[in-house]
Amino acid sequence: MIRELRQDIEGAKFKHWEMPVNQMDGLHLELPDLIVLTPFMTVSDYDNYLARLHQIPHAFDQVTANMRQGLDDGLMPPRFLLEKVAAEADDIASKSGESSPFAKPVKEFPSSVPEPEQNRLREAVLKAIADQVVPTYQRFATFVRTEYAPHGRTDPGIWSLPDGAARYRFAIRRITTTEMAPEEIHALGLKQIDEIEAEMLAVAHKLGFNDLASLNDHIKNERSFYATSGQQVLDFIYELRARHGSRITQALRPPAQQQADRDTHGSLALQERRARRL
Amino acid sequence: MTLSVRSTLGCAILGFTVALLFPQSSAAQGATSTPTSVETRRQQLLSLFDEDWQFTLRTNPEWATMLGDSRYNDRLSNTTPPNFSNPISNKSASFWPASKPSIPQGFHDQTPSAAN
Repeated sequence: MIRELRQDIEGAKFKHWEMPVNQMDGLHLELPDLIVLTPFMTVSDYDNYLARLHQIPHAFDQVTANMRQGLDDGLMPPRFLLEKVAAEADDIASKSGESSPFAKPVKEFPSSVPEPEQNRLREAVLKAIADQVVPTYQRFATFVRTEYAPHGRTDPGIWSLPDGAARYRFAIRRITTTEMAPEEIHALGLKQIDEIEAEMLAVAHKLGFNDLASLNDHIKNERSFYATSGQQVLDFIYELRARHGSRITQALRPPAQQQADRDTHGSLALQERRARRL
Repeated sequence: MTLSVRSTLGCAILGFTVALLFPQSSAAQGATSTPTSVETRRQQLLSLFDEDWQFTLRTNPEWATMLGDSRYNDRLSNTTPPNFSNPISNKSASFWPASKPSIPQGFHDQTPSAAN
């Protein structure tokens, strides 16, 4: 925790929040992704969701302000990725009414939500999509396409940003928890690839292949390695469960310990998320 | 993790963390503080971890939702710069009251948090 806090303090000078979106990450994608992880069992679940929909314009205002500051500071993600961001936002903006990903929760209600409430919530969610979500996404897409992406950086690496070398070294320390130099890490990677490929080659020889390429080719093209139906995949999982189910039960810990495990995994997930913001 | 033992006990251990973050400023203070029992300090540490965890959930409401904690399901994160730029001062209101440093001497290598 102390290491994380120290790095938060040290990393703040690189202003990672001024580059909040790319083709895989950012508010424009997080919001629709969040829907499948949100509970929709009770009326208050739906009202919470509605409250979030109403905050979407404000949330995009904040992100856009950070991006504008990034424009001023020369903190820009690669241009070719930003063009994808504009296309992604356009795509979401183009889906209105019930075809919007944000309408998914009101297409079908659980029986625990009474019918009059279903009607109220459906209407309110569709209205929020039409009045707030779609115009916000349209505005954001236009901003990215016309004002932001054209100034995207042309070099892919963060070394090309202001303080690039220090930024790169900080990212290494944060993500690898080592003080290694970029060249050392690259050399280590090459060495490990050699070692792994040597081990793979030994396996290939054992299986009767002359080289790795022919083994890889076999794995790729041998149809018996692939499931031919969804049922076959399910059967495979059921079989695994039948074979190992009792071991899984044994491995389950008392609830207090499970909570501790969750907390630990949570911290790891957070670190990963923070690292990705670099 | 216990949610009860909070502010007063939390202060001491928070001071301990501040001491680790800023050793030059707080080291002298640490040497003169009254020693407390391992169990008390252990509870203080757990309390600190809990404060930190609760802060994380509160300020990352979408992530709390993903983890199945529904308390902040009606909110979205605040992403204005001050929210990122000074992590210590962000926490200061509830988090960093300067107080007597505590020392983790006598702790187990791995403190079982299931003890409560």
